[in-house]
Amino acid sequence: MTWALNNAELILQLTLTHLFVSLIPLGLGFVLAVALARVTPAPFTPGITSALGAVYAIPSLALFVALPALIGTDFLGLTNVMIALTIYVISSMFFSARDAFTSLPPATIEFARAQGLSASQRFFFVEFPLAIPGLIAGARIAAASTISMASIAAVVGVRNLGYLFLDGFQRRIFDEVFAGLLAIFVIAIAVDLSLWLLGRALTPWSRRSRV
Amino acid sequence: MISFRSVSKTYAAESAVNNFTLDIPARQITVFMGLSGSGKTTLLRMINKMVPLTEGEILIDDVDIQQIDSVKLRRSVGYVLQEVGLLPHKSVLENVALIARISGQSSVEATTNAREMLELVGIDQSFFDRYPAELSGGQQQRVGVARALAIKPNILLMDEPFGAVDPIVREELQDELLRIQRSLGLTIVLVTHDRYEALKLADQLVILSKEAQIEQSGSPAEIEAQPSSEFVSKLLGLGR
Amino acid sequence: MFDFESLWMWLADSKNWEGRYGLPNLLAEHLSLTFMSIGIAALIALPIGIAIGHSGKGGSVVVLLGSASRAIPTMGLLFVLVMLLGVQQRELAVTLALVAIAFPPILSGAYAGIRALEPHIPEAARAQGMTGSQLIRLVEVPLAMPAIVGGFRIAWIQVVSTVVLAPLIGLGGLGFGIIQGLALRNFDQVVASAMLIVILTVLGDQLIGVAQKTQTLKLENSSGGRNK
Repeated sequence: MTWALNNAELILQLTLTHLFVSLIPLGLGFVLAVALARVTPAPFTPGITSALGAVYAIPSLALFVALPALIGTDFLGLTNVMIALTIYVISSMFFSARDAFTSLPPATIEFARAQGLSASQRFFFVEFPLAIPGLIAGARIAAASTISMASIAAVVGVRNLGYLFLDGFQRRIFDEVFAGLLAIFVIAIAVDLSLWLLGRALTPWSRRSRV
Repeated sequence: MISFRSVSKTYAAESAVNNFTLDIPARQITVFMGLSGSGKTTLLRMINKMVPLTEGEILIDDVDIQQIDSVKLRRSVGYVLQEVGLLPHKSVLENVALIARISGQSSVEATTNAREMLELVGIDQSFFDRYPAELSGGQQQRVGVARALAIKPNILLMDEPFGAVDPIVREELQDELLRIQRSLGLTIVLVTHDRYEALKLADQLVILSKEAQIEQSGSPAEIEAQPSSEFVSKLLGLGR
Repeated sequence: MFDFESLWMWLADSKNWEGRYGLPNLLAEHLSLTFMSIGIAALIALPIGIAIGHSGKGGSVVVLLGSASRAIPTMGLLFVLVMLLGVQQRELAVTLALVAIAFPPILSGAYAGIRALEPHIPEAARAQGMTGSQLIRLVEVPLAMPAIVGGFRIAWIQVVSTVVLAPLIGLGGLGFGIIQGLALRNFDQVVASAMLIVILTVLGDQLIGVAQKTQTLKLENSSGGRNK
């Protein structure tokens, strides 16, 4: 506790980096996963699903260090880590995004087509708003895992909250390691809660139904 | 007038509609009745190009629908389906005003029109701001009809529109539909497998068997007086 | 771009295949830590998950644990346990951490699999006179198998990934090459180790995937047979 108070500034700074490193991949991965889920023709879905499933199985540290060999990013760079995390977000969200779009009420989709909504109007007026609950559910899972997984980036030199683990362990300061654990847990829960509130705010209709 | 000229539809070598020819007169209610699998819904969905034809042509007021852009065509033809398919995330009023709004009408104009249509189908003002899930099945279908009317169509396509509501509400809705059709002079094509509904609503009743073969067509009175086959009298439950 | 030739040279070098930190030994260590902790976690989590799924009581705890566990960084958990138990007890600490990591997904898989059954299925079984334990053994667990295997799949990914971090606390496993290579800036070693880890984890994941599919197909075939 004393340690955390004495190092509040460091913790704040690491927290900001941590949020930066995890939220940008989260946003980017969300958009890419939704786009991929929406444009993938049905026959290709199983193939893409299993390919992304395999990617999801790769340990993050292995991907952080394998990526430079594959795409030429810098071994110890921020971009490298953020690309890897974006890949995880896509692979974690693709399936739920696909699910969110395929489980829309069929009669509503049929009507939208039959009454002359163009493809883009169907997407923006009908499909996307109705898919929000499913998309938010997927995003919440991806957010929590991305935020906690981002700490491993400290091993390849990214100074985020994971740094407290390595530094605290090396210098045998339990409070430092514990502070890192707690800080990551707290921001992961906070982001999760924000997404939940966002989902509620965007879907007022889902809370009211006939009694 | 809607004219089917030698229309056929095959799905992967299986024939759903085989060489179908029929004139559907304007300002009348034409009812397609048949067992499931008779192709009646396919016929209906051909009119607004939801199902592409394999062969033949369909003319609306002498214009081949192939010549009409499908989005434009669909915005001029009202569509009502059994499951209604209201947008669950929009209020009742927004649902009815939506198509007019996205076609470029001003919000005031679209909303005023939507209110009129909702009143026409008997939805009370107090429901306008509710979500579809807060309505009963019968009310939802009323909104579905109002939504189809809001685009000021000459033609209304209805696929088992009252199949999911209970018998008492169904009769009310049928009466209202007749009243609205007479007052607006709509051309309605309605698909049903309910014999009472068919006999009650039809000006022209078309009895279909497999692959949309016309067993008999004419006014309900003519058909009831002289069913052309055993199949027709059985389907309509005509005693002997 | 990375030089793949030197990567092959590293892999072909026989000294990387021998001794305490040779690849076979590291692989064995990696797998034994992984299997042992998943095994222990399963022994505890499966009965609890099945019981909760069967009775329906305590389901919210499972859901809460499932989402809370995602927010806990595995590296932090590992370090905290090692520091609490002392570096001498690090093998125990790692095992405890890995068991804690494998526990929630296995629990959730079993619970969710049984909960997801249509209520009329256990209802009908009971109506025919099945006892509680017969219901679990003959109906609920077999039908929940795909979800149970799915829980193991997530546990495998989580645990195998965390074992990659074991060298940070002075243990072995395939992560050794990454940690040592990063420290010595020997990137051939880093990439070679990473590739081996990728192969191992993806292979394991695919194998479990096949098992999951087999279970699902088994169910579909048996129910399809009855319907037709």
